[in-house]
Amino acid sequence: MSPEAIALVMFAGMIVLMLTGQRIFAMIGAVAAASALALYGNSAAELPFNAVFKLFSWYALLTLPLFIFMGHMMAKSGIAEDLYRMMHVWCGKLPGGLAMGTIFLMVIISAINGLSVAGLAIGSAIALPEMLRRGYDKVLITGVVQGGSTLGILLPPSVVMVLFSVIARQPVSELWLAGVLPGLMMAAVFAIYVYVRVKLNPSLAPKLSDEELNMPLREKILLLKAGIAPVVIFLLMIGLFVMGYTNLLESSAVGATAATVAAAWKRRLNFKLLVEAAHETMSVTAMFMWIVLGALAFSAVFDGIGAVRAIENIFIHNWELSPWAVIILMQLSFIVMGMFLDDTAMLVIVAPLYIPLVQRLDLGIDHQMAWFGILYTITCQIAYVTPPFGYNLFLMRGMAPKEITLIDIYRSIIPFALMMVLCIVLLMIFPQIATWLPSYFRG
Amino acid sequence: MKSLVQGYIRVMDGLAEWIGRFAMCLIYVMIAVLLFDVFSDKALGKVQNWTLETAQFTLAAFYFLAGPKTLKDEGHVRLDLIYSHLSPRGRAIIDSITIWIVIFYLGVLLWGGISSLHYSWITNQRLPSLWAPSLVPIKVLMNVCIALMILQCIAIFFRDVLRIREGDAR
Amino acid sequence: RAQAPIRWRLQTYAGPSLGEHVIKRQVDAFNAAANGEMEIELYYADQLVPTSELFRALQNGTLDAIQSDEATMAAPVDISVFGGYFPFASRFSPDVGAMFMYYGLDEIWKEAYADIENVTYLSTGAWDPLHIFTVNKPIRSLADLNGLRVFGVPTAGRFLSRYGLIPVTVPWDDVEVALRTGDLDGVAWCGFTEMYAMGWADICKYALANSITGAWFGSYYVNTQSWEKVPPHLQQLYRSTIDQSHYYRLIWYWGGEAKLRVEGEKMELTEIPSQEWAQVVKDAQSFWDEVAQESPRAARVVEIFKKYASDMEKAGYPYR
Ligand code: NA
Ligand code: NA
Repeated sequence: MSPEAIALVMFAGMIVLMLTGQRIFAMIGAVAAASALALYGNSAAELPFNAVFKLFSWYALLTLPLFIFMGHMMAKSGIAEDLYRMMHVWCGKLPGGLAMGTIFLMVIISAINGLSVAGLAIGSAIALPEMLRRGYDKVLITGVVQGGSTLGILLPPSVVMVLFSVIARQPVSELWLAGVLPGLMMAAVFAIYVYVRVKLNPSLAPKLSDEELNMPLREKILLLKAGIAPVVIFLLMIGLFVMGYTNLLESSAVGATAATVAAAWKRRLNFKLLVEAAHETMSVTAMFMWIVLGALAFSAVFDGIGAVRAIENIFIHNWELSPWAVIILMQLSFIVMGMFLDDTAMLVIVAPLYIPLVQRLDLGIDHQMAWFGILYTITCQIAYVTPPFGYNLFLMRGMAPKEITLIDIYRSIIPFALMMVLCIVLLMIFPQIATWLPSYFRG
Repeated sequence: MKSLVQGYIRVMDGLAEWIGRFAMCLIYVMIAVLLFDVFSDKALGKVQNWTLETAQFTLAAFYFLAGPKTLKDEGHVRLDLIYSHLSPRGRAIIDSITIWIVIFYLGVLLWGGISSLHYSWITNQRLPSLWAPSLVPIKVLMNVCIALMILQCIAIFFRDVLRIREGDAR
Repeated sequence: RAQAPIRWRLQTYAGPSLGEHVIKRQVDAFNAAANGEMEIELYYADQLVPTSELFRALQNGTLDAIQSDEATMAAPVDISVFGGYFPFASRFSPDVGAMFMYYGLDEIWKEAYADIENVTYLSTGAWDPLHIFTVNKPIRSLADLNGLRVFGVPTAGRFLSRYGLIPVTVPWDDVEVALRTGDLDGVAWCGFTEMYAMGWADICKYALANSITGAWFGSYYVNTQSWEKVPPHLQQLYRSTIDQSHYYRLIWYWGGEAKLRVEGEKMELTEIPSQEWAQVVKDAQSFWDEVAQESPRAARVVEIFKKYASDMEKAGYPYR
């Protein structure tokens, strides 16, 4: 069989096995193990196991449990409730103010945690019930929480970018810097969307009564105190890291500790929370790591049959695609695959094929890999919210208040997924949005 | 027979739970090791050459020890495009077949793991670094965990079979 | 003849950019000359198996051939500490070949690997010298080594720590970032050629001209079963292309290093005063003696190093 044929069989086999609904990590791993044994004989039995030791040289992965821990601690620390109250009072008067305030809340939450789960948990537990009570349109606000929470992986710190940089061999700090402006831009696009929708149809977001927001200015200003803890955590973690005082791993440990201290300060820290945070961290870490393990074995075999060269041949030589066409095709394939696949598995399987190719493309962009990493991260955001397979969808089903139905959830994400695509287009036309900040700091 | 099978499931679940409870604490070990590393480096000016590798070993132990419990608690992601539309009994039927694919993967991992451990044992293999820790302990732990994961998968299989039988009886 | 070609999987310690010079040419030449009778597929560092498992993968047949130093892949022999950068084992790169050809290192190597099941040792050649490169702290005296945080090969790090240098463990891929962020003051991992090739020369401003060793020992190994299945004329071809690779690499590094020292503009050369450096070379002797204690075979290797060094002193110009 030709390498192309083997690659196709492996890929198709993986999709079929995954469609049975069995645990993804093992389906990927099983295809890898079976093809390794078929191609190389019994001597390849160690190949799947060896993936564990490949991970030993990817030390950025060590930050994974720490960021997961931090996100959970932070969500339970009470910081979010204070932030919500601040936002509620300060933004309540604007048209659609609570929804726009929720986007702002998501930006702050995103700046101090690396996944979208914390934002989703906070959004659906705190913001959604408040907005529903005041008659906000449930489809609109469900979309706001779903879309807004995905900013968690675009604004630093970001676990997805850690995984990308590990695989693409790029400095994480560069990617994090590159994510800042696109993240803020996306938040602005969401906010403008909400504003315009509410302006056109005020019934989507009834005004808050004046009594509710009536409070002495002194108290209003005191509410701003809620912002102190996130700013301090952000500076300790991201500031020291970007300035080069701590390395990535150290800053993730500092962040985890800072979130724990914040919980203690808010008097929320107790034995139960410590156990709960550890438990949550363990299950999410195990889920991530076992997928990485299976996918790494898969990509070793894929690499072994020369699939990278095969893909390159097809793109560049057979189809004679221009560099930009290749990039667009890659984004499309990410979006389509992201609908069905877990984003980590997608990254580990596809990245070894795409990344060498992107490195060779001459697009005339400085910090090209960081820019590509941002495009990739946005496709992950899309993947999170699109059916049939999306983390945020799964979680939303579990966490959202009763009156929000599955149909509401599915309908709510359409405009937000489209806005994310719009951001990808903007980043392709104006790569500087992503590359300006890394150039400014790193030259 | 049925009580024997139920006993097996109970023992495996208990074991997975118990090991998982222990593994949870390792996150605090990781944080402590890394904070010590930061403190020793920045405050005392002493570079520690064992902390990074210790954190790596701890992470490996963390997700391997979590293995059986994560299987038991349905902690792994599934593609539920078709799966979510099936009845509980339909899922049990499919799962009782596909779980053997999971067992196959874990079986190859165990096969390779034991072979790799054997090599580390006879050659006294160490990580090529200044600290040069032995790879034997972590490989032993990984193999034990993979074996427990296989046993857990068999418990999952039994549970599915019981579910299918109950469905038939009704 | 419609016989299917023999297919081999060869993995190197090197990544793609370096591999271009240290192995790819050889594999290409071999495949061309084998004329379809045999084909070697080349894999770079960590591609098929992680480097730490390289030797194991060769032994069990996942790989048919490897190219690496013994220290990086922790080869299970009592002489693996000498493969890779061993402080002051050589002054110039031709020293390596000379010690293997005239002083009996080749016999010791063959003997060491004869004990290992299913692995056949073929040949050893010279790679690049080991220098210390620093970001913004020039080294002009031994005292300047004190407190420097340096990423490097373990054996050299162990030796240099007696001068207060702090060997720091960082994964290879993070070295560049760590240099930029100031987490590392420098590297002691390679010579000038690779500093330029890997882009580390863009970050480091200073290069210490004194070398810790003249060249490291890199070797070729094959899986014994795979080797025995190859007909004699292709075995000979493989050996010949290895020699070709040794030759190319020797000249590429020797000439390239000098060229970059003279014409390279990215780093400023500094030197440790010769009296102080003579002390370092002398200190290395006690380090050698420590290592000689580890096994009788190690003692024999150290004996050869000593004999060779003293012979070269006696030979005088141009040898020393
Ligand atoms: Na974030
Ligand atoms: Na999706």
